[in-house]
Amino acid sequence: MASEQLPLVPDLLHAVPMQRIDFEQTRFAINLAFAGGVSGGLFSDALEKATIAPSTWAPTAFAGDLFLQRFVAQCFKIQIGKVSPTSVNGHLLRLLAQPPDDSEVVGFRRFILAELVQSAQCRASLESLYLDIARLRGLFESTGAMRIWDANRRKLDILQTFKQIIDTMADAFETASSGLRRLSEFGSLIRSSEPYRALADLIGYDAELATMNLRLSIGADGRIRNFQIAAIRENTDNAFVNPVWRRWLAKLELFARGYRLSESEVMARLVDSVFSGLELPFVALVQCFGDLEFYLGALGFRDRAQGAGLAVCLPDFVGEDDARTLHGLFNPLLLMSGVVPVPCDLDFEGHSSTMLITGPNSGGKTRLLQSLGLAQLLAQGGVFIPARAGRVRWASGLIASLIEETKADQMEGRLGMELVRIRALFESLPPGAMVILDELCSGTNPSEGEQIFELVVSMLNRLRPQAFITTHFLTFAARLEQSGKISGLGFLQVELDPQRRPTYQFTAGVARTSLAAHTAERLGVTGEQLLLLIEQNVHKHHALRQVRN
Amino acid sequence: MPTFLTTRKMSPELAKRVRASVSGRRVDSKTRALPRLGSILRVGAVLAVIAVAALVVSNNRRANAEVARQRDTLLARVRAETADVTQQQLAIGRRVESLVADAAGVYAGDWVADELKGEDAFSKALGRQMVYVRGPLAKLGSPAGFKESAAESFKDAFSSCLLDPPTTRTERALSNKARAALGQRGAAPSSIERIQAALISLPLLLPEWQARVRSADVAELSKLAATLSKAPIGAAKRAMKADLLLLVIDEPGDTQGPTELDGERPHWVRVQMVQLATGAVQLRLRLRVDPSWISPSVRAEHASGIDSCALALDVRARVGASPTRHAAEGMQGPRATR
Repeated sequence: MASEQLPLVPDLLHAVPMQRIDFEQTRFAINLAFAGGVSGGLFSDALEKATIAPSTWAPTAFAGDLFLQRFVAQCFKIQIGKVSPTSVNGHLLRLLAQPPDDSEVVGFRRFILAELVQSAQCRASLESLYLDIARLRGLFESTGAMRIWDANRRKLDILQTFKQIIDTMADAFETASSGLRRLSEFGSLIRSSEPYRALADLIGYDAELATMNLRLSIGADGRIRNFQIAAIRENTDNAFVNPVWRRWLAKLELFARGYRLSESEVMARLVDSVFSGLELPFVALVQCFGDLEFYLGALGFRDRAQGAGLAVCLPDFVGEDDARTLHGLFNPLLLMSGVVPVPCDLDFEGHSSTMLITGPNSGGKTRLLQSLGLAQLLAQGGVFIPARAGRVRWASGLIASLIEETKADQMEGRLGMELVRIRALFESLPPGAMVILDELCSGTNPSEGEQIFELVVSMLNRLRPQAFITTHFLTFAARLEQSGKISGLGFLQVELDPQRRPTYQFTAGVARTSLAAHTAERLGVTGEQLLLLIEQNVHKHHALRQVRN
Repeated sequence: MPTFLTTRKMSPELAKRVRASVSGRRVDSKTRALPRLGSILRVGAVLAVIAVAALVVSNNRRANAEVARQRDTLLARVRAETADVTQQQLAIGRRVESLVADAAGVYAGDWVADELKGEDAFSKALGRQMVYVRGPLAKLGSPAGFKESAAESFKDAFSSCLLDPPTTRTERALSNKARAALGQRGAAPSSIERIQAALISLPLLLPEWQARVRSADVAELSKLAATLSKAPIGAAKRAMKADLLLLVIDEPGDTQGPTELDGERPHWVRVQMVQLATGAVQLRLRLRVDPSWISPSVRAEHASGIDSCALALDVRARVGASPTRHAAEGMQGPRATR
């Protein structure tokens, strides 16, 4: 193989293979790392700067509100047996935050994941491959910590690990039917190349320059009394084996050329000559490492959900006017917080583009919005969504507004900021996007807020988004439901049990109450409880004054 | 640029990369001079090492050749020296030691072979090559004593007067002979050789010494060469080729009388002449010497020498070969007592 032109990159993320990392820069970094000149950051630097498939999604519009970074770090954490390798979260975050706008890419990824779920052997091979590349990463990036180590041995270990990786790729995925087959094609291509044969010869040369047959005489006490060399056979078939006199001349030649006069210097030159033929395949492995993390992270999410008794799925995509369903939808952020979330089933009519969600405080509305946003994001990323089954519509983007942060330098009051948020929403919202808004227009008096609310909802409808908006304007919502003057508007309410406690399920309709009193009672904000707190404080204050006097 | 790291089994691509890994260091123009200089220095160092190694090898070869030459020279010299020496002659040391030990035993009585009797016969016998040993009876019986006596057996008044007797047997004539013999201690008469020369040089002529020469290193070889140079090989060979052993054994002296300043006192002396080849005794006499007749002024200095010279004259007289006149100046020397 002409190493200068890499005809195939084992891209597992895109239907059409892409060279996504900066090959030249990574190649330079790998050369430096191989020589022991740098330490750390090679893989993460390359992957975090990697280009990704074109996407219409803008991560700034939702990543913070959906706690995406935390989701990646905790839900996509890779666990292989007892080993938990350090993954490049920045790369994973970028991959998930910018789902491809090409449905073929999504299908490509789903096919791979489906095969990994169906074939335990395939998954085990992928995990083994990932661990090998992670070991390679460790050998490259921990040079600083291993200065006392023999440099040649480290390089040979790198080459040996590389060979193992290529062998695994070529052999373990030969029968794969999904995009995983690219690993086999890549491995086979490398294995049939001249640099690989040189690599195999070098490893053979390192392991067996010669074979010596010894005849040992063992005494009655079990100790060696005598030994004789029965035969010595040099591995003359190996391309690197030179006669002794040439090895000596080679050492002298290297000394004359400015190297040290030692056997290790000869080996160093041979190692470098083999490595230089494999630079580009090494670079390809860096990209491949990021791809494997994507799938193993997704499988890790699936494992965690299943461990909590929750099911995930690869949802079906439906047309714009088809009904959508999310059954067994749960909030993975709750799962990572140690709470087992209560899954809910949602069904949306095909014509409903905007859903108004009402219900009591702490009834799960905001959590539902997070779940919906994450489910859409993951579905379009081609990975498992936090639902048992799902039929989702393709979205051109996601805009989420769930967190109301007060900033020290904000120029507007709460209503002003609310209006700025609405303005920004319409500035960036493409047609067919998903919008999730929590408590729209809650920063002003209800009568004025309702007017703005109605304006926003009616305007949103023109872009035919999948909008999910929570509100406590219950009367207003009920009026909208009854009037039906805004087309495509649907209503969901938090279901309450007979004791009027939220079940964290959602049904069609508008809630009658926000159950603020219940929440206040649950959180200790009743008249009796507040009086008790006041008396307690007064008593404490008097006691302090007596002590001081 | 070719390199010794490549092999014929390598693919052309790999060989190219190996060559590149050896020579393809990236250097910018600012630092290019330094590696080039370093490379030159290293090449110079390699050449210097090779030159030194070649010099060492060359010197070593030259030194080895010189050693071989020295060894060959030494061995050739030894071979030349031993070319005309028989194995029997090489065994003269043991032979003489054995004869001396026999003579130091019980005295077998006086005996003079017929072929020695008479002036002419005795002179003829004395003209044959002889080795001379003289020592006290107490020492000559043992190997160590023999070697000690052999080392101390120089030309003395006895051998001198035996071969070249004074014309008169006066005190003056005898003392002159004794004084002359004392002055020429190292030089034996032409027909008499010290056995000591043979004893010293014999080891150098034996095969064992040649084997030592063959295995010697430079330092050892020069020592061996010096030893051979100092050895009295000529005298040794003459001793080895001698026909006769002239042996003088001094029996213990009388204890009653005075002892002279040079240790001389009255005592019996055994004189023997033995054929070395056959061991046949040609002459065996037991004679007494007594310095008491010598005037006190001369006796103090030359009693032993005068006695020895007188002994020689007595021997000659006993074989009928001494026409020496007595009492030339009114003083008579002692007569041998039997």
